[in-house]
Amino acid sequence: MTVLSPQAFQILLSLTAGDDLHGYAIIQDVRARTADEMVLTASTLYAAIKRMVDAGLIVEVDAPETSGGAPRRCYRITRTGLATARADAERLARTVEMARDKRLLPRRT
Amino acid sequence: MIRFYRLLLRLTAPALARRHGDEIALTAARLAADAREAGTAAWLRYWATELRSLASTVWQNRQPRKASRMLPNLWSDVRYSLRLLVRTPGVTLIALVTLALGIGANTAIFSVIDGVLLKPLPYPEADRLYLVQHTQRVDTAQTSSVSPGSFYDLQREVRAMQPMAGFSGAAETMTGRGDPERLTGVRSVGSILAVAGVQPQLGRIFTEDDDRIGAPRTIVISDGLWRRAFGADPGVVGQTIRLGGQPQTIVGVMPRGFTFPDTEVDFWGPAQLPANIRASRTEYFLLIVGRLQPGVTPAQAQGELDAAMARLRERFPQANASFGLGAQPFAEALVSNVSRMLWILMTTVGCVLLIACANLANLLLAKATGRAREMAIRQAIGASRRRVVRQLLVESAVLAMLGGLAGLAVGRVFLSGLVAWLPAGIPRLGEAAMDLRVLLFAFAASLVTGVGFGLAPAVQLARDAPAPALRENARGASGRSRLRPLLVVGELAVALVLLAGAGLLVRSFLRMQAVDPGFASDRLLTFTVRMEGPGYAQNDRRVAFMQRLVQGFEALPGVEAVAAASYAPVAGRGTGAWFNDLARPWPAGTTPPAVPYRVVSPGYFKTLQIPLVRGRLLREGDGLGATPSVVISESVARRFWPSSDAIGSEIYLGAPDNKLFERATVVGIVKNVNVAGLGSPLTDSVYGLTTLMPFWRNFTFTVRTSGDPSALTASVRQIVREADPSLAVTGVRSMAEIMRTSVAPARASMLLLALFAGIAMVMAAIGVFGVMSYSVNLRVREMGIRLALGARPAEVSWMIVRDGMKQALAGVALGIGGAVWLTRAMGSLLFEVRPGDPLTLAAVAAALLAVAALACYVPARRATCVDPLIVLRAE
Repeated sequence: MTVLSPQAFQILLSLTAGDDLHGYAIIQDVRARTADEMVLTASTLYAAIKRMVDAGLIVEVDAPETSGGAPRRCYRITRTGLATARADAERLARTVEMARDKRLLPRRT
Repeated sequence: MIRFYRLLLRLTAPALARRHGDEIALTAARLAADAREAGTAAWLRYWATELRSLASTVWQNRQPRKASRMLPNLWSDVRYSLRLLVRTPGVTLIALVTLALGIGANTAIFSVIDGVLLKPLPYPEADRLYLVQHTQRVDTAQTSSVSPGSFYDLQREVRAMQPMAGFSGAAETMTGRGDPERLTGVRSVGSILAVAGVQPQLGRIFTEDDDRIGAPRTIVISDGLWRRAFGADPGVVGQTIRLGGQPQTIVGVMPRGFTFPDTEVDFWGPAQLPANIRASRTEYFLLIVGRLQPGVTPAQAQGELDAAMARLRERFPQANASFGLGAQPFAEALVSNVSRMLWILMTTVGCVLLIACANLANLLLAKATGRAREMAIRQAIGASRRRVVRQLLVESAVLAMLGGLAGLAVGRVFLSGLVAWLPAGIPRLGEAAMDLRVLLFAFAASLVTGVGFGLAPAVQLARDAPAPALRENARGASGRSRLRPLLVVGELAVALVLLAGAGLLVRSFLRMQAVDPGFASDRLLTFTVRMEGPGYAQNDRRVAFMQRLVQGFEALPGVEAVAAASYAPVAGRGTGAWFNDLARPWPAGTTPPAVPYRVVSPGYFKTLQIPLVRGRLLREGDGLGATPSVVISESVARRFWPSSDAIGSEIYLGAPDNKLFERATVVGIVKNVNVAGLGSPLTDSVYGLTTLMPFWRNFTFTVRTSGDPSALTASVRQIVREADPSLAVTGVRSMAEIMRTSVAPARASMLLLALFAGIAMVMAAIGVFGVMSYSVNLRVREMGIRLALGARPAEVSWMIVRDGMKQALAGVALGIGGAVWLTRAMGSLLFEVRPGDPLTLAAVAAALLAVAALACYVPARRATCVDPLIVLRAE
């Protein structure tokens, strides 16, 4: 089972909705969802993207013509990517459960 | 920034950059733009984060390089080199100081060259701007201004250069805002601001329409004047100021840093010449700038200019017979006076760095000889020759980089010294700064230097066969290298060339100082008063006012004599006019020679103590009255009356249809005075009274005092203020100061070249000393044996000195050859000294030989102190 880096996990989360996003949009989405907790830089993002493309979690697709000055390439989540993200999310959920058991977090009512 | 980031990306993470470089750059650019909206701090923070994360990305993705072990090896080489440098602190320190001085000097001069000569001018498409001037048909290097009549023809006919504008410098007094202030401005026919193509920060520029006769008077002011005189008031556009007694409306403010044509200018305005001057063919006072049309080559434009000039010659032969037209890139024309000097300086410091390299190579060779064993062992246990050479090259590169860093610091100090030292008025000197380009230059210089001085020892060491060096008691196989004497010969030759150049400048400066200016220059105060405004429109009002001022100054305590003149001597050529002898009119269709003239008060010759050679001086009544008279300088008399007596001849100045005065009799000949500076041979002058040429408005007063002239400054200003508070007193200087200014460029270049040549000589001497000491050390045994066999100490030291002097003589001989050849480039900088002057060459050769002899003598003395017993016992 692959353990994703927090950045890779967030990038997959941005893509799970099924939209093809370019780098800038991913950075904005991650930033908005995490309320500025995770602010990706261009080099971190693409270093992660490169690894994820190599691992087959996402694929590169050409951007639609209309996107103007935006980057020319967009990214789309693959089946493997979706499965991996799901598996990792479950792993994280289990981790959170364990933290609750140990009273690190309050029990859910 | 984004370009730098891309470069960094490509250098540090090539794989990532290949695949995602474009996207990363685009994304980073957008993120940076977002951050910029939140302010500069956010922008800086963004880039800091981006760079930090790039660094950590690179760090996380670093891959062990299996194919090449180049980088880790390099790193270990660097660390090893650093350890070695620390182990021999003495050698390291000498090397670093040498490098820091060499690279520092080069960096500083390069910053000046970059700012003054290389950077494009701050106008859009500045390379299409051309300066158009008259050239003499016999000597195209002689340039001069153009008449308004010719300008309008050119503007109409030369389609290749549009827009086109003429301009001339103007100094006008601003009144009505506190004390009257003299402003430097540019008056333009057509609109030079339209030619420059720079948008104003406020309002508009003036256009050709503003130059129509009868158009309201408008000006555009500089950012500097806007801040200084108007407190950066944004409502300044539309305000009216009085310039030269005339109300003028400010229509625009140019951006900060804008200047045209050269150094600080306070305002630009249309010239609004009266109709008769617009049509004039014989008053030459305009320089022309034009913008080359897109798609037109300079040669095509020159062709059009030539054709237009041919038409002008045909239509107005007398005014144009001797003229051609030349177009020169504006940037080049701006700095043509200083570029030769700056390049000579650059070459000089380059040579100093070369000598420094030779010395370092020698030093490292000496050190390398001591390390022959180490290298032999390395090779013996399997290091390839390439690996050994690389280790040695890395060592010198590390040394050079450290030297370069120190050199940057030294360069900063040099640069501020240079800017203060170079004479004022070098255009764009303010743009000389240690920017990225200069950093790159320093880096490249360091790298080249490092390889330069490191290659020779490295190759030599690596070439040595390991076996002999490994033998016990080995004395170093490369001890008697043939390279070292060659290096010394080379650096002595280069040093001699530099010394010769400096020597020539020193001699020519001394010659200049020894020039007799033709008048007594001590205890003279000079200043200028310009009579502007409606109160001075009439000639007699001005003459009367000038006489009133002269009387006022004469009444001051400590004043011996007072005179007024259109220009002070030495300060500049001033205005010239066609010289005509009524008895011998010039043939039709030739342009008469122009001679500088001075409009003076009768006391001029007495005040300046210009001796009368023949005839009489001017006196009251020599003006337009019964006996209009002029006095000429000896050189004018010799030029126009080479074999007859000038006195009694009648002349007039100007063109037949535009005479400065109808006729005047030459009544006296006075001694030559250097009108255009001590270094200029120009002494021609025609002197006439203010009453003869009453059109003059701008008077320079000279006051001879019994004590310190500057003590009178306040009372002089007071007298002018009492006479008319709207007039400004400007250019208050002692004559001694004017003389100093006139030789300032010569002085600066002499001092700078002498400084660097001196450094070169000291470095060359150190080189000789180093090589000699080293060879003495190697020959200690031989000396011991010679002494033991009965050689006298004097013989032994003579042997050493002879060896060294052979090299010194070879270097000096080579250097003299080089100096004769290279100093030819200095011709235009020299005064009364020819390049390759034998006396100078002999003197610097003798000086260099003496220094070399001293550098040989010290090690030679040491050689004789060798105790033969100790040496032989060691055998």
